[in-house]
Amino acid sequence: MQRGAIKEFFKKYYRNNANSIEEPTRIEAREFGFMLFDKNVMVRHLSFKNGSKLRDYVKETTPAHAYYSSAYYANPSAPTMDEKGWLGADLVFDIDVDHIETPCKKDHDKWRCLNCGFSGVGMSPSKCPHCGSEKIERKMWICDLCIEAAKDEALKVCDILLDELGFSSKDLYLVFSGHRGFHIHVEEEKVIKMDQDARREIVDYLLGIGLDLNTLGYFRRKVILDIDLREHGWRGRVARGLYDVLLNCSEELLKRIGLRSREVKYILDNKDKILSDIERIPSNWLTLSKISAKSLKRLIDYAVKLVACKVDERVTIDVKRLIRLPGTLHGKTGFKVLRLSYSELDSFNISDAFVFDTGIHVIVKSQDFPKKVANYMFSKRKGLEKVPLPIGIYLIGNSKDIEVIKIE
Amino acid sequence: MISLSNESKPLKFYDLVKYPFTKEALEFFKSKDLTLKDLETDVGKRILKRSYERIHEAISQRKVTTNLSEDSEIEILSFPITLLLLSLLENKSLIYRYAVAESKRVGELLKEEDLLKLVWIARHTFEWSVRLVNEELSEGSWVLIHFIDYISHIPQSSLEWKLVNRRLAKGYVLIRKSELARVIEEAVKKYIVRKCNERLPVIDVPNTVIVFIEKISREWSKYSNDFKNVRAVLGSAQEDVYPPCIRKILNELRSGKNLPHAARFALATFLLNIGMSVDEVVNLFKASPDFNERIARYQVEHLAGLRGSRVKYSPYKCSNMRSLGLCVDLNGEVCKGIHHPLQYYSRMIGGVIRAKRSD
Repeated sequence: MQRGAIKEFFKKYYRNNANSIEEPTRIEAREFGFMLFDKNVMVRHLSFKNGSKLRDYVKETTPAHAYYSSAYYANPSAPTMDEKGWLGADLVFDIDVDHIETPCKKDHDKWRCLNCGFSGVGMSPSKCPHCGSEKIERKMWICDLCIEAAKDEALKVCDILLDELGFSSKDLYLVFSGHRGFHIHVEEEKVIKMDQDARREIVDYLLGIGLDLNTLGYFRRKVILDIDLREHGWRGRVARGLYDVLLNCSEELLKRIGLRSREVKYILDNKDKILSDIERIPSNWLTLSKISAKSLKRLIDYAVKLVACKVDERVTIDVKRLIRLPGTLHGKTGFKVLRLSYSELDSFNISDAFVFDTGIHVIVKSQDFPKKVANYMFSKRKGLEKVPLPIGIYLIGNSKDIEVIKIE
Repeated sequence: MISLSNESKPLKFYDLVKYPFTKEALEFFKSKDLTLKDLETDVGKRILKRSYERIHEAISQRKVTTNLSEDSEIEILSFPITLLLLSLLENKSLIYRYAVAESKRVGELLKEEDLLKLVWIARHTFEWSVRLVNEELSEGSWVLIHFIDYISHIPQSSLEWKLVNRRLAKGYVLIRKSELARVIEEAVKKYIVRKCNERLPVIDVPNTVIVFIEKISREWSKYSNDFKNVRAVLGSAQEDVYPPCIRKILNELRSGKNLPHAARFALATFLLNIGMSVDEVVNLFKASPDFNERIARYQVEHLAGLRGSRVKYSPYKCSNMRSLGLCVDLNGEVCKGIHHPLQYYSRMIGGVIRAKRSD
């Protein structure tokens, strides 16, 4: 059983469950695209009049991946953008655990430099620390801890959308992407017409790009921070981030941030006093005035990085992008692309996206199993392992090095 | 004082002369039911002449002056006719030049108005959600504007306007009256650009109009010819006038770094836009570790508008370069006031051209 067999499982699933494919709002104005199992190209520029036509198509073709446009078009099936006639687009945010450093990555992720052979476990660097080459081969998996980290990020984004940008929880929904994270969709009338510049402003707001220290109440020379921990928006967020950095800091971290030894010692010796002053109403930062302006700026920059949302800016800025269709299956994992309301996010569990019978087992063989994938802990590092079907499909869908011996 | 909740109209007919883009002014224009034929009458010719003056002043002085000595009706009607002339000319850079000049005129006048008039225009012409912080205040007071209306109309070149540096609660941004005037100015600019780029139905243009169009076209080509041969003038020194972000990408490419897609796009489109040929650009990309001549040529030709949609692509503007992590001057120290890499280039070579002329 390899990729061909996955197609058979998908086919059977769609035959009985095509109804769980939800058509997007205003389906007639959307473009659809599909990746098929046997061809390595995207079939694009498709459109459907209604949900049942869409479901029939999926049932008939059994795609490996299914996408639709976040944009609305006058002629969604036209071959060029000019002819399509862009009318607007939903506002979409993409959270991908690839970009989030999680401790569980050392249990399931590996990388190897194709240039010099240097290798490591955990989050892969963008270039080889040994030879500097960017040709890096990565073996990456997700586990339930990754999903928890992505959930935290998604909640962070949602909180900003609700509290600061003023959307209501009815205006937005989330989608588990079927693999490494979540998409957040906002389908409110006012956002649809927004151009790329406006969307970029929103992304920059989430990422903290362009944040100007002066507006935070940071003054040169005399180091005075005039921010309260409880304030709304970026000022409060930075204050809380700075508080967390100081609360959890170690000598090693402060040095890495770039503080001088004298300053590191001062912070560590006076930590309690500094923190209790910050907790006062309003917050008092004067205890930090022993720190040079340059070092304080470094501390703030570090705090900003910590509290900034980790969304992929390209997905939000691009108003002509195709995005996964809820209710379909992800061709590399076999997990269901699952639509969730804001209130459902917190209780989401990776096994909610399993669609294949966990009573069926697959015996897989590998020279090098990860410690853990999804919610499954491996009992050995290599050889044969008997895993439930959803895990089996994820293993062979996502890696060429794992083969199936038997299904039982 | 006028209470806004009564929705009594703060705009007088005289205001329409100053603000011919408002809903009220356009309704007045529509009520006149002008046809192209009417432009050949004496009144029509006066309107056309005033429209021509608006564009002429934008070309030669980069500004438009409100003409209060002109008949008010002519002054109001000349605005939509100006937009008509520009759409017939179909020249994007001229449209932009005019939009900037005309909106600047509006912005300066708006700053002198009272807050209620601004709020009225924001609500009625642009349909924004704007709230007064305190119904009783007018001078020097603040307003709340919905963040989407705000971010859709902010100047792109400076950090202070960015949403991230604003106080934002429950979807509303707090701004000053003078800032509201600036945001409306930006909205007027965008309105003009959008209107002038709309495709017109095929129409029979009367000779009187054609005469003006040709006149404008001649004037504009005189101003826009200067930059054409600058690459030849610069010779080997030309990379010194590239913006720092592009220079960095170029250096990385030459050092054999495997560039991400966005960096390749930014570099290739920049070079094509300053007049490099497809061959020259493809040659540069030979340094890339994954270079494949066939694919590279295809992609560069696509960006140059020789394939597919026939659209010639422009590099990302600065704000997008920033978001994509390609900007190297985040504090705007080298690129003060610049909002597009090509703008940096044209500013730099402007200096070169002037130096050359004085040789």
